[in-house]
Amino acid sequence: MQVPLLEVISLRKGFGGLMAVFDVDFIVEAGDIMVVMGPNGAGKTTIFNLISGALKPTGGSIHFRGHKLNDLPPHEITRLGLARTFQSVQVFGNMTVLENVMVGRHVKSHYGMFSAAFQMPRARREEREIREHALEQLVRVGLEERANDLASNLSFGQQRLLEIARALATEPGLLLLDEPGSGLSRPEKEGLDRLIREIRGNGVTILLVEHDISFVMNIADRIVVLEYGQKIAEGTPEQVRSDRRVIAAYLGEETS
Amino acid sequence: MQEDVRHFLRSTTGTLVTSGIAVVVVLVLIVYMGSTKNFGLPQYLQLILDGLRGGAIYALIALGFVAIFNVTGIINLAQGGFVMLGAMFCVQFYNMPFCAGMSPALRLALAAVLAVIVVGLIGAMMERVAIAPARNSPQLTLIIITVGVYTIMWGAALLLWGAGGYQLPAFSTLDSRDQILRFGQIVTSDNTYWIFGGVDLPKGAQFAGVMIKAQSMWIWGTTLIVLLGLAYFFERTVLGKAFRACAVNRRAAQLVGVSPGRMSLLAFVVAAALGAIAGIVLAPATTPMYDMGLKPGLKGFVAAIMGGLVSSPGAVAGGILLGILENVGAGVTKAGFKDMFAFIILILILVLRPHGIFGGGAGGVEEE
Amino acid sequence: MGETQQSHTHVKYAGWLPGRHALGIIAFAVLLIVLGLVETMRPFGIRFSDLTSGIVTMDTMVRAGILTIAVVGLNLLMGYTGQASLGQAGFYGLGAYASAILTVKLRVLALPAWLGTVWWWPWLVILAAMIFVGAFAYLVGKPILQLRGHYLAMATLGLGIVIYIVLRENFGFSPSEFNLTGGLDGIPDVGRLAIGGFTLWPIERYYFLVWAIALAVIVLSLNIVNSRVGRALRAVRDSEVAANAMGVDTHTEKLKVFVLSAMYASLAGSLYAHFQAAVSPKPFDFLGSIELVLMSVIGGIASIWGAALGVAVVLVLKELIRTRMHLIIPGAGGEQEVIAFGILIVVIMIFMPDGLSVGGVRFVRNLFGKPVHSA
Repeated sequence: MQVPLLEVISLRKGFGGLMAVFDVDFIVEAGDIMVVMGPNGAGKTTIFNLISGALKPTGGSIHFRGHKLNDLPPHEITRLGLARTFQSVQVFGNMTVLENVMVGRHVKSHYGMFSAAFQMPRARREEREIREHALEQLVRVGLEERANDLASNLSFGQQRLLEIARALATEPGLLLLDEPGSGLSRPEKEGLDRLIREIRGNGVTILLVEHDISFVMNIADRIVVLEYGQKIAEGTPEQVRSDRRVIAAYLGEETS
Repeated sequence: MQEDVRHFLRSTTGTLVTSGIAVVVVLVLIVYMGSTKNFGLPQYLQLILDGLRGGAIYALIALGFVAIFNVTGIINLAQGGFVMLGAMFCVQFYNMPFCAGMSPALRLALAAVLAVIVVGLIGAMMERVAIAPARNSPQLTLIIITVGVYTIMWGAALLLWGAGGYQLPAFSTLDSRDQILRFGQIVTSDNTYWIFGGVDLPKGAQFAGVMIKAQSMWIWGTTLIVLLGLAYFFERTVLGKAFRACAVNRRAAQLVGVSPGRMSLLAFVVAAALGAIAGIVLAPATTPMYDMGLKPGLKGFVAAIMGGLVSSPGAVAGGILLGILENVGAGVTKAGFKDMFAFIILILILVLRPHGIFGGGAGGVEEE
Repeated sequence: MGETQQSHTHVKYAGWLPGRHALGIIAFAVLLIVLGLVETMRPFGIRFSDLTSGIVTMDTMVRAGILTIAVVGLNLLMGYTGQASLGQAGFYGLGAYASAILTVKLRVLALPAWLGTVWWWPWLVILAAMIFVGAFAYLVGKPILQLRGHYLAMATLGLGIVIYIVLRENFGFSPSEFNLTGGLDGIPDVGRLAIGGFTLWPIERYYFLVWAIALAVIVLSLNIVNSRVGRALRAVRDSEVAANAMGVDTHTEKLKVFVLSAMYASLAGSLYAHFQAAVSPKPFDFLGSIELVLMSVIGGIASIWGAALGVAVVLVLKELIRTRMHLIIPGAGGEQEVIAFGILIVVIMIFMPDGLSVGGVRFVRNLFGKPVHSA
């Protein structure tokens, strides 16, 4: 049928003698909200880093929109339509909130040093478009009031939203959210839930890593559960919730 | 395609093959250029021996770099300043009137010891005043700070001692003219005999062989003693082991009670002392002056890089190799190019093997 | 272009020129013009140097303009990509020597001699030198810029020294056979620049030329910094991993800036050659690179305006020390500024790593009790 948006096939990543990710397979269909879950150290962020190109796989392959991602550098992968946020928030602290999002627009703009230096019409035109589009993303996440503030002055939760706005500016087909809810308060998480649904409603597929089980159960269409770098379950929230191995893996884990 | 090539180059066979090819190419070049100057074996031997002298100096300086980098992660661009200050202070103390009554040998020994102590203190001061306050600054800042300290050093030297050159007597003769040891054949009108280490050249005789200045023996001897001393210090003393612990894993070292601040201070003192010693044994062979530290410092750094900045044996091997290569290179091309070899090697290593030739270094390439 | 459609959000001007910089540029230009006119017209018999009681002369002003061009490039490189360059004087020297060689050594290079007589040839050479040095920087930068932090610094250091040695050693040729660079003595009798029949000399005319070019460079650089390119660079500086994730090809962007800074340095070098009317290798050694770094650091590594400020401060300091040092230390020569530079570098990097333009402003603001706003 339709080619899945993202295909992860037999993915492996070893660091020296340690296998962080071992033979992980899963598929993300366009339009889904997919969650990667698992106890600490399960390899969730490693998978993210592998998909987004920050790490190179030791084995297996990753396919996005038909392209093989294994050997591509991160910026190429973003150009293909895959954007991510970071668990340890990586905003550009010395730039304003608006400028942060404008950087996200980098892949959708083209004018170069020469056009910029001499203020060519194309540069001015694109610059206007960049600013407007960036502002739109800020409105979507609700940060437009802080547009001119320095990114490092935002609260942690706001910085998370900023990262999402910035990633959205790349007009991704697939958005990778790395623990977007961690460190957020309850009302902030509810806002995040709404935002994620709205983003999906606009045609963006979402793959997220998350700890908070109740948050996950609410929002996920499908879930992949990892433990010690291996996939132990996959399916709808109901299927996963009652899977024996998943329960065993989380026994001893605090359900938040 | 590019990825495959890179993979091959990084594998063990790939490395051996490329190194082998590189060595052969270099040797061929050297022999070819040497032949245009009618170089025979004695000439090459001479070049190598002379190069070994510089190499030992570079090894000492390189160890200073390694010490500081291992413990603090900083590249101390002021290392050459320690070399210069060691030489200049030794000259200063040697010529000071307070020990006028002593024999020159004693004066020299005293001056050397004092100079090392003074420079060690300067190293400590540098760490406390310029490095510790900026410990959390980004790398660029720290690099520039060490550059600034180096500038202060030679600016101060300029102020204190002027722009002129000075002189330290050769250790063997305690005079400006050094002993020359000859190894080779002496041909006189009625006799041909071999000579090993002899000094005198009879009138009208021809000499075919290699010459070594006595100061070179001092340099090699000192380097050896220093290396042994360092080995003993790091292996046998508690302080030395704490130092190594800090170099290997600072956090873990902290957990067992090693203070990184104190280790950092020690690292700078050790590096300063090493630099000073290098400067002192080098001084009779060159002209001590305010800017003499720059080139040895940079070359010592190149040697340290050959060891990946983290390996002491690698740094020593690197220093020796560098000394030989640059001297042979200058010998077969032009003397003015001597300094260039070091930097060409630097750039080549940084680009091709930032992990160092001899050491498993921290690497300089962006990790992806 | 400053307001968006949303009435409740006033988007701060993203900074196209004319923008918040326009006023500064115009003011600066006016100041430069006035100072130049003082020297040209000598109202009441006053010369420019009298305004500063002999400390700053026209000569210094011209040097300041030339160095500003080079330091702007260095600021772009160090401040906006966070990459140290300890060998910038190498590119500076390449530009100077290119201009000198291609205008003076025509016979040596088997070029037609009449090129030495036409007014447009030196300009063409300046342009060609920029392109050549840029290409060289590209070739060298491509592998080098993959290096991290201090490794890159050392590579640039080595590069600068290699260039210096090559220039000093006349590329290894014996001067009697093929005298290209003139070795230690350099190349004398480099001509002045001219447009048509109008020679850009004496010094007042050259002053206007140099500062016109410097201002143009500043304006162009400000444009770059306030554009998508500049944002990408600042992103790389703040978080390279996030910049990569946002589609910024960090390696290529760094390389572009490296090449641009080399071209600026080459331009400055060419202007220097026609100013000194001679070139020698001495100004382009390690100390030369350090001076450039110092000027960059003092003014503010990440500031375009800071370049001009840093250059001004260092040059004035040099002149002050040179003319007044003998009052403090009798018999002192002119090279004692070195230790002052070193101390300055260390102090500023520890206490005011943003340099005078940013840190200094903040310092003054704090003095007067004004809270430091965030944007």
